Amino acid sequence: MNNKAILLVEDNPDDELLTLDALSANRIGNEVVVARNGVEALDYMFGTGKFAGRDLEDMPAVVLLDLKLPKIDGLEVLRRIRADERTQFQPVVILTSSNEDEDRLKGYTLHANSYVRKPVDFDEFLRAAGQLGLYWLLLNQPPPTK
Amino acid sequence: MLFLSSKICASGRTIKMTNTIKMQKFLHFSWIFFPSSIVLAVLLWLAFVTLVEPYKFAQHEQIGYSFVLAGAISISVLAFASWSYARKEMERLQQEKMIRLSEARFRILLDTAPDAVVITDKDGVVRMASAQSENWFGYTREELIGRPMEILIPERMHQEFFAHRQQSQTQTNPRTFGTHTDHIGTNADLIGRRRDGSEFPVEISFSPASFGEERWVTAIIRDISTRKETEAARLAAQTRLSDLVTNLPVGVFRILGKDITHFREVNPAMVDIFAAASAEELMSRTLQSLFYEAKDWMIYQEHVKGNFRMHTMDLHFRKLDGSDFFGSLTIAAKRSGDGLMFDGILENVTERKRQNEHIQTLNQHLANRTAELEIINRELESFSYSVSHDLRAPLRAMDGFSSTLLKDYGDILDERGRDRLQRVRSAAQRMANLIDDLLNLSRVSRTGLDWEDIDLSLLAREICAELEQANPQRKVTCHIQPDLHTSGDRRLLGIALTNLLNNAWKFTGQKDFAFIEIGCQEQGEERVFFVRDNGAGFDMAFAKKLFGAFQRLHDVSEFPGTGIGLATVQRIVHKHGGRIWAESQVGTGTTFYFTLKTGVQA
Repeated sequence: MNNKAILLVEDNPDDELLTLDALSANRIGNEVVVARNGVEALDYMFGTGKFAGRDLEDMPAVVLLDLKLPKIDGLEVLRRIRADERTQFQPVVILTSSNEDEDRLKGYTLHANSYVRKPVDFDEFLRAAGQLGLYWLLLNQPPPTK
Repeated sequence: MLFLSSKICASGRTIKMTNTIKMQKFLHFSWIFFPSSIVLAVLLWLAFVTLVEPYKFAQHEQIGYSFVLAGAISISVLAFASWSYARKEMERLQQEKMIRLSEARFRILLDTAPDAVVITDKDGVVRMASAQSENWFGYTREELIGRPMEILIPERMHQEFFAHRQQSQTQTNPRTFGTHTDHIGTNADLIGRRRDGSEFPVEISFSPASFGEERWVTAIIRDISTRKETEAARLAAQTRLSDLVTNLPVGVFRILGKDITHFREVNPAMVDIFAAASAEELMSRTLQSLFYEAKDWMIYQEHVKGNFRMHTMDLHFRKLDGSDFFGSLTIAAKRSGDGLMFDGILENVTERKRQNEHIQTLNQHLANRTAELEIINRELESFSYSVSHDLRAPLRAMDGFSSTLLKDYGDILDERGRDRLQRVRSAAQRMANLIDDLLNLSRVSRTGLDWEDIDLSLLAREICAELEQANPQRKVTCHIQPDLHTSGDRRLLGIALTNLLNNAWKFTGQKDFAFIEIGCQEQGEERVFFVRDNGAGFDMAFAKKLFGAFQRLHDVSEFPGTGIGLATVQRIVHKHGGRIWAESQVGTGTTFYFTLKTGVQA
């Protein structure tokens, strides 16, 4: 398991806590950076604003991206990540409550790597978090860094 | 006019011909006789001089000479007389031959004339008749000659005909009787009467001719049946057209280029449209006064002065009683012998315009309503989105924190406390399902259909396989009829079939031997699909409640569910133009039937 960070983009503190609980319940000890809106997420990715001066060599293993976010929504965050040369290959998993066809379609159109719906049943959520961690931190080979 | 000679009358012809032959023979004789008698006289005299001279009838010499001389002279005179007669006769015969030739030519001329020719004397007695008159009137020439011409005319017209014939004798120019006058309806037609009494329209032209002392008349008779028929047909066509224009409910008018401020001709509909008392009244008004608005009067003038074909346009007119109306005006310019003219039609379109405006208003209302609906729909979508996203988050928190509470602090709580927490979790999960079902239902209503060919059998097998996988502890026999093809929306039919099979799966839960059948049966023209189970069934008394949202026929504790599944199925079937119904018996099982509109390919 690599030691890269996980960027969790989530505005709901309950969901944030549950996700962190679920990750730790799955013994995923990687640093979890939390961005509470789209602007913060982009600041982290591009080393701007609150995250100015951040080492951009150190990109998260995966971005867990909620869609409904204040200021800049998740799809726009995804679009900007894909539009920038530095972050275009960044693994991004959309993790959302929405099961709308349109959201899924837009997400995949913007080249999301995966789309996972947050289950209400916490047991299922735990399984999902475990599998996500296992997959993106262990199984998946990230793109080569320049 | 040699041919008018009575000698050439048919009755005298035969006798004359016999005489001519005799005369010819005589003529030939006299031609030989005259020169030979001269020669004979000379020979006699010579013979006498040479033969008698030597015997010298001394005392009778004088007498002998005189006798011989007298004889010779008398023979010569006789010969000369006969020659002159013969020559005269010859000349006469030559003349006669010429006459006959001329007569024959004339006869040919007469008989080949397309018209019937009858020649009468001053009393109207037929003296000659052409072959055509025999053909047309059915009399032979012999029957006609010597009888009054009136026999060719019906008796009722005799008086008129007689007067006309009399009059023509005093004229020098030919006069025609029986032609049309200009005024339609005045019958100046002359009728010919055949021998068999039948009649036909004729035109007779009289030409007076003087022949010596006598005044004769040539009557040229023309059969005008064909012309009459043509005229009648033309007249009928004209009448039809004129009727058409008169009876048209559309105003028809003509304006002359030299006076574009007045109507020149109007049909009755125009009089009605302008509420005029008569066509004359309407035509006496200036057009300017008939336009309600000055700008329309200008438009009219511009078009007419520009000689443009005026496109159909709605203008505002004023009736003679002062009220206004909207008229659709079309004018076409036409150049004719009398100069420029404008023919046009005018239709009162006030009512149509009013209706159009009404329709436009309705359309506007509809557009507004549609816009409102679109807004509502968008709101509904964003509402659904919010429900989907935001309502689930608190539920997730309730379930998630209850779960961690149970896990991390479960040993602090007693059995009752753990039970309550478990109930919180169940309630949260049930509500999450409810939200999902509601979203599905609203999605079915919101989305359009994407028609394609669907293999329902395949779809059913997949769903059954999923159910078996999710509930490995259950033993359910699924019998699926193969090749159930239909057309429809794959996603929606998938949702419908999933709901039906979920139900069947659920309600057979308490059976030792669970059996689910999916098939199709023909009912008349219709294909009816069915999903049958041998599950708990329901009381048919509640069948009406079956498809209502949130309607449940079983206790949640017995068979969990949200009561939205069948409402969704019904909505999907209805969207496919089909029907759905159920037959059930408590404890025995339920069969859901549904039809889908076939042959629809959007």
